[in-house]
Amino acid sequence: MTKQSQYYMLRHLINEKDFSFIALVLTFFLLPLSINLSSIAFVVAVVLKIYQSTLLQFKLFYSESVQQSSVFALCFFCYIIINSIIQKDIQYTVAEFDRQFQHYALLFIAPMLLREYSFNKLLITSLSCGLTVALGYVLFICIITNTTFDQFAIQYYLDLHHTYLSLFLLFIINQLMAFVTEKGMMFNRLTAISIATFFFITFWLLYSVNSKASILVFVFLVIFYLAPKLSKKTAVKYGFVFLILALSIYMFISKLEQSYIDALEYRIQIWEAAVEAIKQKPFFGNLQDSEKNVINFQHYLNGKYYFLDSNLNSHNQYLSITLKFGLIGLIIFFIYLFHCCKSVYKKNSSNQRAFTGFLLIVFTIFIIENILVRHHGIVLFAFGINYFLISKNE
Amino acid sequence: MKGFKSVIFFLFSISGFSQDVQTLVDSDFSIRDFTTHNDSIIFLKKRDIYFTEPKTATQHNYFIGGYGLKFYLDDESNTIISGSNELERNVSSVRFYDINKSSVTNTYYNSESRLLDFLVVPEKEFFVASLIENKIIFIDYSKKPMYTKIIEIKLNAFCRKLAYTKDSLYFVTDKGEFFSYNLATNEQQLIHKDEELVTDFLIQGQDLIYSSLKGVIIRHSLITRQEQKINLSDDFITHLALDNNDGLICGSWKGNIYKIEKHKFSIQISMPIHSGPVFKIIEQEKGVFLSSSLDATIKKWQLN
Repeated sequence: MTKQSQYYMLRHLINEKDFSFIALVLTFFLLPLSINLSSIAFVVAVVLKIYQSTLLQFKLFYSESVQQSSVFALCFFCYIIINSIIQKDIQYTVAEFDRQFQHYALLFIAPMLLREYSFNKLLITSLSCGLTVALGYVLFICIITNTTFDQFAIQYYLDLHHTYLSLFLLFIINQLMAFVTEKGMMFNRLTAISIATFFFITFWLLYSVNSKASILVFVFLVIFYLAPKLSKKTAVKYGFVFLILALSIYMFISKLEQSYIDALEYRIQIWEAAVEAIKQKPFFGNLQDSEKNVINFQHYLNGKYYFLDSNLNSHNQYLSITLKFGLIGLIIFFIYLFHCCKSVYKKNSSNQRAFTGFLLIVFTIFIIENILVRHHGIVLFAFGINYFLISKNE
Repeated sequence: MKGFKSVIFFLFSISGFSQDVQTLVDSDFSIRDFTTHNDSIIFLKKRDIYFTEPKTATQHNYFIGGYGLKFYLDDESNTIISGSNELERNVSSVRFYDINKSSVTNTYYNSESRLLDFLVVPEKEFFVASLIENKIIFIDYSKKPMYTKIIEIKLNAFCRKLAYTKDSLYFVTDKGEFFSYNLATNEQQLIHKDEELVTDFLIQGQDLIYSSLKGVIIRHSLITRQEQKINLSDDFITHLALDNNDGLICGSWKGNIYKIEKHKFSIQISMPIHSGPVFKIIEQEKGVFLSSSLDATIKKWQLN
């Protein structure tokens, strides 16, 4: 998509007075920069959407598939709230709503805020711009203060955990890979160099922040997009790409081999505690206390006070959902995901490949982090999954 | 300290200013243990021990190897003896920090086990460690850097709590069995048995006071075997302490503080102080207490 068309889209939004979507674009720009400002922009987008759709007769949903996605997500949300009321009471559910439940509302609100495919692309552009500004800012500060540009600097100056930075980068790289493969690699030299530079910078960033899982996901994505293109003609070209990638991975693993082992061992101990907690309330989960408290109690029983002191969540999205909402909750969540997958794949749209790449990213990151409990994670997931539901011709 | 975001707020009370609960330390990680020393607070946070000087508003810290469990301040030798566990590996260590030299002078490593509880008997120069491998060891450190295991007690369950009084070590296992171990005679004796998992206990005269995971606080007479019980609904005690009048003060999993009436053995005062489990309570001066918690704070509060 050219700069002119993006500019045209923005002009079109202003002319149409769709300020809700403009606020949403701003939300994505601010996402890597500030959680608070991004949250405010999001709330403004929701309020304006309600205003526009009730008083100005704007569409509430721009496609049937996102409407259905919203209904499925609403069912999941209702299950959570009813489950909490049954397990505790209304007073507790209201008091804990902000901390424990409200982020899941994004799953059914996000579909309402999206527009047509070409407009939705503005969100990715906006996120890319925000990320460039944010990383440029940290790099600038690091140069001025003569400090190392690493995950700690990004966490300190942006309050952005390296997993979420990696998630944003992988999301963008997935879109770019889908775009490149869709175009059949037919670019002029300048575009080809720009794309190659962007790939290199992204890989370097993931390497710099020591994001172990993200490096693996990056490799999966490259294999996923390039493997179908492999032929006798392209063997040398792609073989070279794979060779460079393999070499980089080897260097990365050599550098962080112990870190990989420690990170895995560390998570296994947390997962064990989560599984033990799940076994006690397998079907409807445990909403009588926060996830951290439930796991902390298990660490306490296991005599692992060093984990208790760390006050950690389950570090696995699947376990987190099962622990809190039970197997029934996990099944409902998977029904929601299954519906989204079905909607994308049955349309036979060009989104399919990028959507698979997106699932590859989130399903892998789900194994190591609870991304849906953080603003950065839930925003990207809720909008990401619905983004692919709207195809070009809708 | 690079890459380590820690903000300490010293909000010590100004003369004439009265407030029920004050936050003395507001940190970014659980504060498992702390003590006061002259006008300063020494506390254990993650892998470091911090010294705070409220008058000069300064602080410094030193590294203790792994995740800190407990520490003892030996006033006589001006030494801090800390016990800690590594997160990933099954390794623990006990470090001796010389306050005058501002350095760790000696370290004992246990490369095969982690600590569940740890206490120091400075006058006899040994420490006792309850290990996650269901055993208790006594280590003589009088000839450090040489460390000698003088006693080993094998158990059939975790021992979460050790107490030492009058040449005897008292301990409880997760099977609810209370033992005393006499160091003079090397005799181990079962003094009481409960069916519940015990979360903390203390010996007060001839009474054994303990709390269970089911939220029961029990006073058990070791002489008459009579028992008094308090039932907490939906909470349990994580730390028991005695005030200067031998009154019982309890900190709970949910961050509440309970004052127990001595004679009736009933809850006299209940206060929500912390937002997470209470790890330690000490009486700073008459009626004024400090407590630390998983909520990463040390709070100052009063009991009237």
